Amino acid sequence: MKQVFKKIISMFATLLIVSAVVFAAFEIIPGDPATSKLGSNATAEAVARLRAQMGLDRPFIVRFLSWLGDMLKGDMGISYSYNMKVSSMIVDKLPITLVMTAISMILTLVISVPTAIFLAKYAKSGIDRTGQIMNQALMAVPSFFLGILMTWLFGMVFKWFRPGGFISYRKNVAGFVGYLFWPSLAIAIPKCAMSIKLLRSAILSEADKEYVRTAYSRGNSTMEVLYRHVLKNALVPLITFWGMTVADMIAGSIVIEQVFNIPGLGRMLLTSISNRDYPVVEAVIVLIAFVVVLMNFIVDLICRKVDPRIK
Amino acid sequence: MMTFKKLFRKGIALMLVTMAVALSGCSGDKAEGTSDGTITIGIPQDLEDGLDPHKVSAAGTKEILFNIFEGLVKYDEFGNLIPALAQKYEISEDGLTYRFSLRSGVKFHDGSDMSADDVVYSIERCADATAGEPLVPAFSNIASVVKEDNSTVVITLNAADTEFLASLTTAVIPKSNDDPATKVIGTGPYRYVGRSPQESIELEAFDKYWGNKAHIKNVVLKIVANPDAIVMELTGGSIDMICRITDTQAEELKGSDFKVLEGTMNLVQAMYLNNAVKPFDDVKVRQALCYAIDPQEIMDFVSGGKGTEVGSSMFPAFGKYYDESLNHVYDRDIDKAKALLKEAGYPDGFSFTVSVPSNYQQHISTAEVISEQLKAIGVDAKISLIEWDSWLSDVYVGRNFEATVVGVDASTLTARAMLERFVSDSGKNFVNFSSAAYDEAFKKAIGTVNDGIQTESYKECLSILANEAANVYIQDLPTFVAIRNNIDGYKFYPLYVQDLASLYFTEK
Repeated sequence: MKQVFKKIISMFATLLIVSAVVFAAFEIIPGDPATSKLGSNATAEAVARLRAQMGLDRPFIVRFLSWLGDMLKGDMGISYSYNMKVSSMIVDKLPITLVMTAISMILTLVISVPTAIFLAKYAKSGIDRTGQIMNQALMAVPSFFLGILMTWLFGMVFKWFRPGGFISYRKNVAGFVGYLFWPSLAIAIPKCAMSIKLLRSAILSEADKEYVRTAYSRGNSTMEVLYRHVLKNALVPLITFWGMTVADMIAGSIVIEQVFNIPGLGRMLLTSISNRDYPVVEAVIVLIAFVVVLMNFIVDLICRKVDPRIK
Repeated sequence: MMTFKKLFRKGIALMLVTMAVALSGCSGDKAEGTSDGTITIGIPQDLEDGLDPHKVSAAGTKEILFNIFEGLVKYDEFGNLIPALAQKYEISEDGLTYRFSLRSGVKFHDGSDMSADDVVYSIERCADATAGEPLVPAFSNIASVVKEDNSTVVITLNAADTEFLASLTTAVIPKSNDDPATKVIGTGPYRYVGRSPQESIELEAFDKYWGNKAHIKNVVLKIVANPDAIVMELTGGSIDMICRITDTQAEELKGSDFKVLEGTMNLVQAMYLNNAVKPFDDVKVRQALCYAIDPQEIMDFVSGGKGTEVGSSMFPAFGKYYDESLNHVYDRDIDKAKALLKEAGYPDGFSFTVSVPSNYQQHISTAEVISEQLKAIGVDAKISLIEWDSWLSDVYVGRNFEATVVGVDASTLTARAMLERFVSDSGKNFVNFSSAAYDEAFKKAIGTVNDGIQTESYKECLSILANEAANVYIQDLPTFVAIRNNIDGYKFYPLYVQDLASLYFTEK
């Protein structure tokens, strides 16, 4: 329990540091939201007035503390560009990112676990060798490139989906999921390849251990040994990997959103950075950081449960 | 049995009938007001500066809001001011009093009636100078706005201003709207339905519009952030129309379901020089650059020879002031350029940095050609790409630059909007141009009510800009609009406007 408490404290410390760094980054980079908003109508006087209105004329530390205070109260502020509540903007975009991550994760699990077991079963055979070479290749291809290839092949040649034809979940849920399937697949493939490699070698190294011989000697069949004993142990390192994968997928969706022209959290983050829309940028980055630390935390808890040796 | 001849005759008759039906179908569609259906139009960026019509500044936002809001007067496709919410207006002989008779039966999108109070409120909101410069700078000239009766508003000016009327394109919004930034209520042919940031904005034809109603019921403005995806989105069926595509994209669309229309952007693309920094504070250096740079070669490289050369801060659509002879003040002459540099004390040339906003490919390509051309006179132009936002804060507001390639347009269709920024003490004079003769000519132009004198003075301003080589003037960029073949009615305006109400489907 004390351990868990410590973890939570360090979680908040991480978030605090991340948000302070983002705040400081905006102090350093040129450009500011007032000139961005006023555009070519800007005169030095008008900029100064709008800055005052936005509260940007206050010193850095005061702004940071007041933002922090609002954030703790659950108030993410109001976007400079959209005059909308940042929280409602995020709620609007979050389903896109979450569904995409969920599909990729499901694809990763559904493909990688059976394949890894299969390859492990036929270790060192011809199938295993070809499988491993393919796996190596897929691991090396970045998902944005896969995305471009898939857009061309499935979108333009086979016409299985309409490139750039994102459908909002508010209009048609099936169409929405159908479109997100492709970017999710592009994200999942390299992750899948990594999971297969890790899981296959974990199974093989577990299979050499003595408890496996004992299990066999008690009369268990290969399948029973694999599923009841080996897999349980082999999955421990994978849980950590998958946990990090989820966090990675959420942060990495920024790139794939550009390839598939998806108006998700990633695009909102990018345009908000170029508009210097601090409240939005802060909120999205803190959210992503929160997911990362939260996944770490959850992974820790699960591993403790599965393997009591971990303290 | 039918003979061949008969069949032939019957065929012709049938053809004529079909043609007649098709023709009537066309004209019928156009005249009959709103037809069901949706048009999805790609726009390059979201409306990021808000939806309050009095506070937005981006051209990309204003051109959309044109469909939602209207002022007492508005522009037609030829750049003329036509009565909109005012049915007619009278201007007193001394040019000081404007009497507007309001159109009756105009409804706001929330269903309420537009009244003289709303007009007075909207103008007063934009003329409010308590926080510095008013929202509409020309309104600082207003002495009073009075509601004479329920359908008459009288505006009195402090000083005569022949271009004042153009500023009355300012949107009229309901007085009862307590938050114009989020409640979008106007009187235009389209009403605002909703938006999803970075995704789309939805509009719907306003069924109680006072004038010619929009033809197409639903409009979705879809944000196409990635310019490389434009052709794919068009041919893939995600969007039906998009403006300002490049020459290359227009070529790619040949033979597809789209037609490509060509117009001009109505801006002045130039290499703007900071007249206050060395070596550009010397007129000879600026002239040398003008002699060394050939706009035609730039147009050939950047847009396949399309585009229109400009020689001063005025674009060709503005026929009243555009003077073609200014294009030839500096025809390419390397020897003369070198001689001028020598006189200015730079016999071996010099080097400087051109800051170019990284989101405008045409400006980047232009800067690249310029850099090549300047090598001939030993001048080394280094190109520095900066984000649009940094451009605004460092180059435009901060005036911390040597040279920059951008296009400058007119916020209203007046010569003043183009030329006021070169007055020595103007807040928008980002090039720090300073000429007593120019200031005087400009003052004369805005001070007179005589149209002839005014036109002459503005022309003088333009020739001063050219002769003083304030900037290296290049061109008005060409622009291309791609529209699906079954949609017609697109109109090019001489200013930033997308008139959605004029679009219609040619077939069902």
